[in-house]
Amino acid sequence: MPDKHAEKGFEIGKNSNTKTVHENWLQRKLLDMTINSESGIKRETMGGENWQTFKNQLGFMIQTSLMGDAARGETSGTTVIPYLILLVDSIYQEKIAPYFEKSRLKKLMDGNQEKQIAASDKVQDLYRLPPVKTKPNEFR
Amino acid sequence: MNLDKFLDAIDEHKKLDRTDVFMDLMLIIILETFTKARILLNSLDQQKIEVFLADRENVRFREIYNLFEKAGKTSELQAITNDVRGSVVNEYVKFHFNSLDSKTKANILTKFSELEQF
Repeated sequence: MPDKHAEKGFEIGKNSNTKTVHENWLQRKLLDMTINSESGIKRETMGGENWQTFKNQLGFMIQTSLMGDAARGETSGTTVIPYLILLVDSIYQEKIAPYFEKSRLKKLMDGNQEKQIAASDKVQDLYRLPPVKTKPNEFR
Repeated sequence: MNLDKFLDAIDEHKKLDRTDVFMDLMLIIILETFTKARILLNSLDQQKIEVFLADRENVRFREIYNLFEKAGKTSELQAITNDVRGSVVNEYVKFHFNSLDSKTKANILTKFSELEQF
């Protein structure tokens, strides 16, 4: 069976650029969760002024509330989970969701809907639900 | 494993934005948590989560969390979050560590002996 990560161009152990390694890790994780697309997430599609502002405002809070605890080896952080969920909601909408929107539109423009429907089926299979076929005219 | 210190060791010039790292890690942690924790809920709510997660352009984390809150499973959810947090951070460190050249690896190992397991 072909290595799906290798197919995506990940080069484990061959890159000393920490930023690239981080991006590869993120893409790989999202791919594993099937919330990725064929070309992976590109940072430039997540960016923009809003993201930068958002990041500056909330980044420190997130770091100290979640990872700061983990870094100190503590088990706390649990009490702030509802709050973190809200933040993640915002992060996802700001960072990840726009990518899929662009990706979907591009695929529509390419007239390549079959792959998208197949990907949708793959997600359904993963969660053991009957596949729901998406009709082309349901796309925006 | 102290993630901050590890990142400082492999990226002393801070080319990697720490805030990006922590946000991305958190996103992955929450996604994995919901995926693992959905068995705590009844089958109807499990299906709702699956639909939420499958709608890739519109994942609503708050709505997923509300399902656990409504079912009185937030304590269990928090326990799973802690477990997932530990495993994701470890995996992330391992991923970086394995991407280093052998000379740098040896240097990092002198600072973080716990990485020998990788």
